[in-house]
Amino acid sequence: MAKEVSALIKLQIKGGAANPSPPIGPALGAKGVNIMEFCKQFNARTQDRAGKILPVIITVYSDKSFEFIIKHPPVAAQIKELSKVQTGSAESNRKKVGSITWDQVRQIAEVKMPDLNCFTMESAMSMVAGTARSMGITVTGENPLNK
Amino acid sequence: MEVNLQINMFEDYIRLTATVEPLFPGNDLLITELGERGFDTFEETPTGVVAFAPKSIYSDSLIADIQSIKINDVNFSFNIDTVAGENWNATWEANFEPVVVADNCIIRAPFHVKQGNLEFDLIIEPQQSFGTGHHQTTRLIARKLLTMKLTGTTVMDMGTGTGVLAILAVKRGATEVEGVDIELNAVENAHHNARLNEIESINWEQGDDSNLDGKIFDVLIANINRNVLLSAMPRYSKAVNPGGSLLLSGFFTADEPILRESAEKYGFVFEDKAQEEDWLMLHFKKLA
Repeated sequence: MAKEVSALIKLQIKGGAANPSPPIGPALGAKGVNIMEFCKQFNARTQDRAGKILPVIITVYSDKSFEFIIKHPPVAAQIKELSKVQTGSAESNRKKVGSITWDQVRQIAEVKMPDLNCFTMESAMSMVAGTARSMGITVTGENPLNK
Repeated sequence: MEVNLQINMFEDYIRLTATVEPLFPGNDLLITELGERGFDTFEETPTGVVAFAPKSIYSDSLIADIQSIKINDVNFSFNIDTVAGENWNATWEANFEPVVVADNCIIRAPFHVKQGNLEFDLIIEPQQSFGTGHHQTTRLIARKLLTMKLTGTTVMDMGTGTGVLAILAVKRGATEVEGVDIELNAVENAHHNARLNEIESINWEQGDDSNLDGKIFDVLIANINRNVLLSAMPRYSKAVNPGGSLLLSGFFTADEPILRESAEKYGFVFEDKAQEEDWLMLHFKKLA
């Protein structure tokens, strides 16, 4: 028989940095989960992505066991990494602070596609490009979405 | 029961509650900005984001810095309050099962009835600290300590948590044992657990691998994680006597090559290993 789910907890945690403090501690602790066990597992599984913000979905079962899925970093974080800008621009339309190429937009969209509510690669790319614009980052090259 | 500790051993956290409009891509962008400013965990809400960071990063300039974040077409406002540290793991700790590590060794809480007459009956009362035997890596190292010759040796346990491995080392005959943990609450808890096992001889310290400077041991245990072990390897090398042992765990079988390469680079030779599910323990000897 399938185990009964007692909670679904969605958080974003820096790779390698899970610790028993809030919000992990209260969220899991209240369900009777051994928080130390979660932290050990999460940190061990994310050593390759230490410091990157990783969305995680934790399923807690009624017997206090748990499972979790780690997703890819948020689109904005991936854009930042590729464009190598430190902070977004206050005046993104006038003063561009960095750029990524349409190939990189596609690359991010491909990685993140499973986590996005997009049915097509084109809509995922459009979403990534929109996020870049909000950050004041130019998307360079020929826009394949205009073809 | 211990209550009303005057100094809270558990670290306080700051909680930033932000209202973000529009949520997408506003939340993503704000989380990315806050992540660069020391916040480590985030929870999305129907109106925005709640972000958490250790209280130690809090300053007026941090607030000013966050206020200066401008994101095109995204508006956000926020407030910050403190979440007092406490033992969030108390519910689990009040009612866990004892762990049989080997035929002659069990790890149990004070509230468990003593079972038979086991040679190594370890009593552990965790306080949001790691090392109750429920994790594979604790069992892997504990089993190794049960078979190694430890009589008369000096032992260091890095990332000691509940102190369980250091306590077992004393019970196996080690004469000088130390335990180090980065968390104050773990160090206090290890001390408490040693007393539960009628052991007063272990030296407990809060700190990290720099606490090893100027010290040398016959056996060095480190059940932490891959990246910490890799960065601490030069110090581990200086802190193990020629012919002494290094016991590493806290990582997966996939991490074996990189850890072996690092250990060998710093003068260790591979001795043996043990595995439980995907978790691994590596045993190295220091070259003479």
